[in-house]
Parts: sequence; C-alpha cells; structure tokens
Amino acid sequence: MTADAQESVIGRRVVRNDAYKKVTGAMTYADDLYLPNLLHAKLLLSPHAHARIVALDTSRAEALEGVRAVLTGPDIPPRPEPTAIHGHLLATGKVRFYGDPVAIVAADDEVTAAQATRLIDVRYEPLPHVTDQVRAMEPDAPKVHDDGNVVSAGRLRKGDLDAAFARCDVVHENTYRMASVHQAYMEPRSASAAFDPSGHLTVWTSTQTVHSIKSQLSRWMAMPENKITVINIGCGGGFGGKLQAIPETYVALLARKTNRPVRLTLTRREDLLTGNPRKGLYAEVKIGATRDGALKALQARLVWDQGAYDTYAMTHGQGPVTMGGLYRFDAVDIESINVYTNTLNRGSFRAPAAPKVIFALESAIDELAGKLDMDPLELRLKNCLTQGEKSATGQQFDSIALKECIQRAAEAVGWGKKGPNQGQGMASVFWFTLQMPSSVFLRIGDDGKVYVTTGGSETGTGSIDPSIAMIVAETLGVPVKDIHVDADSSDGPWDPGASGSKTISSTGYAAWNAAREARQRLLELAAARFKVGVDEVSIREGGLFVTDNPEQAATIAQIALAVKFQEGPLSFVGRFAPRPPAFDPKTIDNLSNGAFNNPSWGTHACTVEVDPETGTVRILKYVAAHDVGKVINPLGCAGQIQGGAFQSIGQALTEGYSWDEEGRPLTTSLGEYLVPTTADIPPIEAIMIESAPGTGTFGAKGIGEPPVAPAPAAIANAIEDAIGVRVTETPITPERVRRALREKHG
Amino acid sequence: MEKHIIELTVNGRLREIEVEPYLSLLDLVRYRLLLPGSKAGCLTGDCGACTMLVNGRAVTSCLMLAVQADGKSIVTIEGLEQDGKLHPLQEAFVSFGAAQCGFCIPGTVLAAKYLLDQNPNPTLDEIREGMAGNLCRCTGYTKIYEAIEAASAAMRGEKV
Repeated sequence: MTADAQESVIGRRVVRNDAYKKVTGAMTYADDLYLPNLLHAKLLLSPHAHARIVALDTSRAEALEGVRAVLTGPDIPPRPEPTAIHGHLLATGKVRFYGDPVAIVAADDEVTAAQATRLIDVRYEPLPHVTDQVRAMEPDAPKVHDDGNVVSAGRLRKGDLDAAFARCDVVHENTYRMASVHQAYMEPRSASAAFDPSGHLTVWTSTQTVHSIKSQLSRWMAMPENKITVINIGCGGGFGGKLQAIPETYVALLARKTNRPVRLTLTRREDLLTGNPRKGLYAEVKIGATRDGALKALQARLVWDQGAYDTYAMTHGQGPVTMGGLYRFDAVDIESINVYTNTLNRGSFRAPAAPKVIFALESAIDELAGKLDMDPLELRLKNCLTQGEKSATGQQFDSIALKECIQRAAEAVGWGKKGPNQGQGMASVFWFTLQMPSSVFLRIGDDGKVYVTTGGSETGTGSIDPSIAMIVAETLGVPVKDIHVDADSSDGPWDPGASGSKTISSTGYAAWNAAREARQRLLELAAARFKVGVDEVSIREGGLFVTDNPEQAATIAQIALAVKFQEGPLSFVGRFAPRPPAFDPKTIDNLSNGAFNNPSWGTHACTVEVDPETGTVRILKYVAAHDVGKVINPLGCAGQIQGGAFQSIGQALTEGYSWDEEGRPLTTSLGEYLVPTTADIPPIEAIMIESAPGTGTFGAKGIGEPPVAPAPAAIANAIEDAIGVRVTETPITPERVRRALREKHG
Repeated sequence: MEKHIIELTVNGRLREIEVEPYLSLLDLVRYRLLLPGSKAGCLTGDCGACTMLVNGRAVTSCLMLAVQADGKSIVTIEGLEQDGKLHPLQEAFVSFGAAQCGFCIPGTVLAAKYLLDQNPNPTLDEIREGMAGNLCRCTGYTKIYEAIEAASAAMRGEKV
C-alpha cells in the first residue's frame, strides 16, 4: 500500500536521525553516563581453567577504605529457568574456565575497586581440564559438569543414506574445524543501575533487547516487571553478544546492596575473557554425486564447543537445517552434538551456526567439484534449490532467489578472470528471519506529526532509525521528517529485541499494521468531512483531499484536532504475530529448528591473491549477492551486507580463540584477537536482489545475519583455486597456508 | 601520591588541571574534562576509538599520559565542528551512511582528518593504509571509504 501519488519513501536513501550526534561526539553510550554518587564495580576472575574453590575470604577487601560491597557465588540467586537465556554470573564451588568470574566489588572509584579485587583471598584446588570438544566427548575426559560433557545431541535425517551413496560415482570426505569467534563490538559491555526512593530500578545499558533484559532482571531480582525500567543508552554494537543480562544483573544486585548507583564497564580483556562468543565446530562431512554432477547424498557429524555453561546451547540445531536448504539431495543425515569444555561460555553471535556449517559444506562442495572435474560454479547452478522445491526437512520454498544470487555473484566478481597466484571461490548461505510478535503504539498528534513508540532497540543497524519512520511514512502518506519514533526503553510496548534479523519484519511489521489502521481511520474521517466515499479520498505529504477535486482538502493536523475531544485522540496499537513455516517433523530429532521462517539466501564470491612464500592471502575483490525480498532502507541494507561480509572475512582469515596447555585463552586483547582493518578489506560490493519477495514488511526478508556466513568457505575455495591447496581449519592464517603447501609439495 | 598541574589547550580552550601521574590523556578528557566523545575501545592502542589530535597528529590517547599532554593542543571530536558548521568529513559520514553503531566514529573521523591534512588527494589504497589504525565492527569499511573520498573531493573544491 503506497501513499497516493507520493514518491515512494521505501527504497530511497534516508539518513538516520542519530547520525549527527554520532559524528560530533554527542551520542551517549553506557560508560558516558554521569550519575551522581556513582560506585564503580570490578570483577575478580579465575586464574584456572578448572578448579575447586576450597576457600574464599573477602574480609580484607571489605575492610579497604572506599569499598561498599563484595559479592561472591553464594550471594547470587539461583539461575532462573530457562538457564539457556539467563547467563552465568559468578562461580559457586568450582570455576570452570580461565576467567570465570568469582567475585565482584563495588567501590567509590575504579582504582579502589581494582585494589579490592586483589585483596580477595581465594584458595583453589586445580582440576584436570579439557579445552577441545572432541576430546571432551571421550569417556575418560575431565568432566566439566557432573552429569557429563554432552549438552545435547540431535539429528536431521531424510531418505535412505546408504542407497543414495551406493548410487554415487564420486564421493568426498573431509574434516573441518572452525575456531570460536567473539562479537568484538567496539564498545565493551557496560551497564549502570540505580534504585529511586520508591524502589523502582532503572538500568542504563548497552543492549540489543531492553524487554528481554527487563524480564531477566525481574527473575534474578525477584521483582515485578513494572518496577524495572531498562534503557538502551546507545549500543556500540551487539551482534548477539549483548542479549544476556550479565552486566545488568551484577550492577542491579550491587545497587540493591549498597543503595547507591553502580556502574560496571568491562575492559576489553575482561570482555574477551568473560563474553559469550560463537561455538567452535569440528565437522566430518561426506558428500557424493553421480558422474554428471547431480548431488545425491550428504552425511555430516557436527561436534560443537559450547564452553562451560549452557547459555544459548540450542542454537547448534540451526546447523543441520542450514546445510539442508541449499542443494537438492536424495538423502541427508546430519548429527549435531553440543559439548561442554573448560572454556568460556558460548552465546549467540550473528547467524550462530551458519558460518560454521557453511564452511564445512561449501568447502566440501568445491572439493567434490574438483573430483568431478567440474567448475564449482556449474556444480552449484546444477544442484541449487529453486522455486517450489523443498529443503531436507521438507520445507517448501515458494520465493527463492538462490540461483540468481549465485549467477549475480559470479558475474560481479568476474568469474574466470584471474592472474598468477590468484584464485576465485564462492559460497552460499540459507538462513531465516526470526520474526517474533511485537507491538507498537502510534498516535497522530494535532500538530500533524506522527508519534510512534516501540519497545525495540536500535543497535546501529538502522532497522529502527530511520526504517520505522520510513515504513510509517510510506504507509500513511506523511513526510519522513514528521514521523517521530521513540525506542530503546522497556517502558515502551513489548518487543522481542534486535537479533535474528528480525527487527524490520517484527517491530517494523507491527508499525506497518498500526500505520495501515491509522491510514484507514484518517481516510474515513476525511471522507465524512468532505461528504464523499472513503475510496474517493487521497493522502499525500500529510494532507488529505478528494482525489477528483483536490481543492477539497484538509491537513492531518486539522482532522486530528477536530476529533481530539470527540472520538478521542487518534491512537493505534499495531500488533504482529508470525506464522511458523510448515515442514516434515519426522526429519528432525531433538533439534531446535526444523524450518526457517521467511528464509533468505545469499552468495558471496571473491578473488584472492596468495603469496606462496609467506602464505599471506590478499582479497582483491569481494562481492555479496543477497536475496533480500524488498529493500526498505538501502543505506541500512547495504550496510548490513558489507558489515556482515567483513565479519565473515574476519572469521575466515584472522579471528579465532585458542588455548594453551593451562587452558588459558591466547586472544585476550585486540592485538591478539585480530579484527580486520581497512588494510585487509577492499570495498565490498553489495548486490540486493528483490525478485523473490518474502513474508516480511513490504515483502522484506531479514538481512542482518546471512552475510556473516559465506566468507570462510568462499576464501578457502579461492585459495585452493589459486595455489592448489585446501585449508580446512580457520582462521586461515599464513602459517596454515604455508603448512598446507609444505604438506602438499614437501 | 604526588599530583602534577598541567596546562593544555583543549578544543581551543586553555585548561589548567591537577592530575595523578598515572592518568591517561583519554581518562583526563573523558572523566575530568567531561568530553565523553572519545571512546575507550581496548585501552591497549589497538582499536583507535580513543584517537585525538595532539598538536595536529592523530594519537591513541589511551596510551598517552595526561602529563605528556602538558603544553600541547588537543582536538577531540567535540572540537571538530566550528561555529555550528560541520567539517566536510562529518557531513560525508552522515550522508553516506558511514556511521552505524557510531562507537568508532569519533576516532575514525579524526584519523581521517589527519590523513587528509597530510594527503589532500589520497588514492583508495592510501586511504586504506592511513585508516588501518581504526577498527570498525559494523560497516565493513566500504561506506567509510566512500565518505572519506567524497569529503576529500569536497575539500579540494571538486564536485562529488
């Protein structure tokens, strides 16, 4: 539904409202907040990967002048259900990873707080530890938890695997490993909490989801939700790492104990040690095809590293579904096992399982193409799923542009054009739009402005600012500048938060619904005023008029004022609830996902140059084609593709956790955990394909997550094309490239 | 602990202030001078979010002591706007959508200013090399390149 005769807002470049604040230093983030009487919190972290806490004495810390409170494990309430959502706060009885928080101090200033942590006396009895998930599955491995190291195991099965492999002329098997990666948002986690005299708790934080944080706090603090307000002050990046109420709960508990405002801002080191990065993956893949290149069978065993606690454990279930949504197979059998280790908790990170399983699958596809003596592009075009076909779980795809993504990516990268030591590779992704119920308040003021209140959170993607205003402007026929959107407070209506690529098609969908209802009401009121039928009225640029007699006109302000004291103010509640997609439940056993809601596809292609002497990989060209359904906000959409592809490249070449023999992580600063710089990343071409509308707002499909998946496989494929060696472990460091060359050539 | 009195110009204004010897320039600016635009992204000089101009040079202020700034002229992101008019870099970052979460932007804009002050007509490769000290986790850098190219053209008086 578009505004009559008004130039469309959707799809136009609209600048975000907070951009001016961001370029002038006026944007406030969580650590910028000045609160009077503020106490500063500091964590004490475990120096052991696995140990019993034999004795813990905080008396010397509590005696230090300026220290106001010290909390340890026994002071923390029991972890609320479901434990997967409620994070691990402080260790009790045992520490299970190097960096496991043992205590937290609140003091008058940061220096005193740090000194106090050094006065907490802890005696540990070190225990054997395990940092590798494959080792952790062995019966004699150290036990992270008493009931064993397997968190959960599930399976996706379709068809007769043995019969399908029997039909294959060519079979390829390999193992792949991907290191855990951290969201590495530029703003370390930070939160402040304060109780007002009435006992109302306010928490100012950097988060992706004010309502979920509020709900989690309500359970941790045993307080009713209406006594808590959570404000997303200004999120300096989330990417899945700011969904759990961890800093928020620490400061809320300390604020309650001390009756003063308390702030905790993690150092980068603390954030890398205690954060919740992506699960690591060890994957065994076996894939087969007939001589003509028709894929027949896919078998995989996925072993995930969950870390020491079960936060967001269920996301491994997305992996098998992703693997089953790109190509046509007669039979698929994928086992997915999630395993505890004595390493930091894993959590949610932008398309949690996707980059990992895509690295395994799309590397294997290229290796199979090699055995078939077939161009990897041709193998993909021959087997990619198309309109009306079904995934491995029986989900039917009625609007899919995967083939076009592959073709456009190949064309844009100049497939086939390369020089010496240069190679090309591609990889695709299948992912979801995690649409969830949302509600939005919309009021038309008698000043003619439109006031929209959401409980959504803007984390920098642009999905709230300015996309919500654009959606409402398009629907209502009001200029974007006259739409005022409030977000980022849990005092707004309930919203599922910014994660899972959902905001435009959840919060945005509710806003769309509210605007459609408001538009209808305005047309009815104008029709009554002009004494014509509703279908004879038009709206344009904030004014209503009789379509065939434009002199009969009124502004929205005039109409709103006229009815203000009669039919009441023009207020609307927009609601949205998604419809889960159909699939065959017999294909999955104990997995969190069976189908992907409002799915989308994407293909990345790159040209790389490899220096065989140093193993250095340089990206010469990188293109990313995505099946986005409908572009609402082109600056935001391209930004998500380019930013996601960059994070994907980081996960391919430079980022990853590893641990020493003591179980200590080797990447505890940004000098060791290497986020790519401008020197590493060429301009990324974002190709937005709108030929296959989705079920989201104006036909949109979620775009936040899919671009994070393809680069590791695309780059590994390009490296093999360049110098004839296959690296099956990420990050693909120069050392690994050199080692692969040495193994091949001696 | 003995404190030191230092004198420095911050965004054109002379300041005299007493500081502990261990106080970083970043902490001085953020917590004592109440100019929170400069950010603490890593505190180890790896991310560039704390970038300020010290006597015209881009510096990672988390690694500089406040006492080292005695007698120097500092420009923070708050000081880039002149008489209510944005610097062409600020305008370009806004119009090209180069700011997403915005946390890296103060440091990135100042580093870009330093780059263009040294090299008013940089190639894309020179931009990429000059900006390698500023990490961004959101944009993938593409729109940052576009904004810097557009700003440098505008500053040279060329049509974008």
